[in-house]
Amino acid sequence: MPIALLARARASTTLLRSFVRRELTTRYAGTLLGGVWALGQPVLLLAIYAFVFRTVFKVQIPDTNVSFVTLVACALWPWMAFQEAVQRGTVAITANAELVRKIRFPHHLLVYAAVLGSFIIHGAGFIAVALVLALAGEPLHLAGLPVVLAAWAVALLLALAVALATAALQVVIKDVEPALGPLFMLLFYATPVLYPLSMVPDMLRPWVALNPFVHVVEPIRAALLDGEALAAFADLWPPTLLALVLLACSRWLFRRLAVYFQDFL
Amino acid sequence: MSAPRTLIRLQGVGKSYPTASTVGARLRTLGALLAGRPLPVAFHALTSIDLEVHAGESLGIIGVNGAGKSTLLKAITGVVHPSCGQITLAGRVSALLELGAGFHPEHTGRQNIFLAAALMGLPEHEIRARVPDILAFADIGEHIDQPLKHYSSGMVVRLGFAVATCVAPDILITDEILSVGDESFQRKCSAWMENYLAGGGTLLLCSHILYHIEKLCRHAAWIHDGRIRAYGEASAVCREYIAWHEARQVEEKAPAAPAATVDFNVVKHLTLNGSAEETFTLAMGEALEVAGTVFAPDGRAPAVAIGIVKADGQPVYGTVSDIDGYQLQPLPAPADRLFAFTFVLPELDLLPGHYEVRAHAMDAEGYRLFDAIIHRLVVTGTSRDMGVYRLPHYWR
Repeated sequence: MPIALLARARASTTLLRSFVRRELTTRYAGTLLGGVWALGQPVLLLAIYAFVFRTVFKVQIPDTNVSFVTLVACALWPWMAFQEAVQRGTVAITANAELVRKIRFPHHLLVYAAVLGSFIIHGAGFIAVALVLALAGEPLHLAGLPVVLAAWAVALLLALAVALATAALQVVIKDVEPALGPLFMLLFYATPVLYPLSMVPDMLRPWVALNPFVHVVEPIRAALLDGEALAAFADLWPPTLLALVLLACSRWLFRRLAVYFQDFL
Repeated sequence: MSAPRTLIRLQGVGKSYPTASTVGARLRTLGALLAGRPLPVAFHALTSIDLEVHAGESLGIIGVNGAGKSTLLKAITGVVHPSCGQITLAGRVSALLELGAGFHPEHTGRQNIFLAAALMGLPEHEIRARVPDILAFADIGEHIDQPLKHYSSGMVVRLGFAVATCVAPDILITDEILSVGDESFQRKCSAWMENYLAGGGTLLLCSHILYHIEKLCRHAAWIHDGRIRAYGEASAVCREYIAWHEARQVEEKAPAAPAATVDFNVVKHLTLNGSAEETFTLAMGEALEVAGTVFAPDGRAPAVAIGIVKADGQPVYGTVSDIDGYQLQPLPAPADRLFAFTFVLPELDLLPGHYEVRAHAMDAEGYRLFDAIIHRLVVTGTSRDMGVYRLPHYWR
């Protein structure tokens, strides 16, 4: 029955939008600065990295005409969005245990809303920072914007795939969420956020490149900083395929476990 | 006339909960879940439930606490996924079980209406169309744009009820009839419910108040230990359920009954006008003599309370021997520590009907009420007076 399917899809969209709105409005509800916290946290991080690596260590990035700040900014916001999306998505089911226990609705929408909320906040932060950098005279290639958008979309797919799996597992095994913090810290330094992949020694580069997020970050830099939009577009295919396969797997896992959430909450 | 539409059909539905108490058990359960193997079962909440509910034929669900009633309702609303069997629903289900469950305290009433309605599966344009009705029904005035945390609990429930009923459900699931909100809101809810049932709505009612089950439901199911113990005509199932309760109470009392060893006062014997029969028939206006003996293990003269109640338990009159300054007399040997009493009502003007005469043994001080003997009293007559008792009167 296509009509029934359509009706259900519309109802799901309404519910997802309500969840996202709730995610965005309650996260900083009651705080004085509200959204400033969301946008300000990565800016502070960026400032402290600039201080440590530029001012103290005097790091020089070879073969480029962009500043350290611009280089890191290109990767920091997608990374923050990804990390926060996965961490918030992981607890989306357990934090809403009351709802899950009492009302019937598609549970994955809670995870989607947590992930989307993080991407909306940090996506907005990324746009704001890119504007500021462009106004400050950094040589950004605005023709690369479609690639940037596509790379963000891949990051979103990856976050959805990971968060769906961790959220479902978190309901059964409560150790998932506490393990994520240290894991993300390691991943942060193993991912070329604070440095470009080109600075990694040749011997280690294939190993670092195993991390799918590398292939989200590098095309953004290639398109925005080097103006190599076409090549960057081509580089986005493997992570896209990987994200889609992962998403299919974690959707299967989530569906399998979702009917038993009730028993474990 | 065609057969009524089947709204709910449960076939062999069972629900068992997996072991999840230890980390090892959780891991094993997770492995079994992923591999699709049968789960290690901790306990069975429901076992092979078969049920059908047709349109317009409300179903009552009764049973003791922990029998599985809530699990059954949750399985029907889709919150609980059955471990085996099949549940088929035709029509929109709305549950009044958890009013306000989807509400968020930081959001305004209006925002919460939106989310709660979206949780019930309504698309945006339908929600927008129904908001005025919901606001009118909840009737909480300008508070609607205040955060929910400033609401009284009554206001939250009103809002929850308004949202739950706005979807024009085919099946309404509820426990205990709508005792929410203040007097006028309760009346509003009752009116809504009557309207709903009169319009062919179907109710799934889970209640301990059997009167409601018999009044509102055509069929009833008695759930016991996760199984359907009895199903059929509501009044018949209710009677069976009451009989089971009474039998259980007798069983519980039985071990305490060895008469000679009791250490509290008991009424040993009771007669109405000399008759020891359990049911006694009396013409209206005749004298009634309630006589009996009380066994007092401590040998002190006990007090006795006599009461008359209507068959439905409503008290008519009661008094205690020591209030009237009456002293029970010890019976001569060979009777051991037995005390006799006689209580006379010279002209009993109870209106015709069914009553009970109760005699309670009390301690010597008249403080503690012990065991009672109850005899049925049928008053016959042709009086057309109304009420319980014919008061002495004349007209001028």
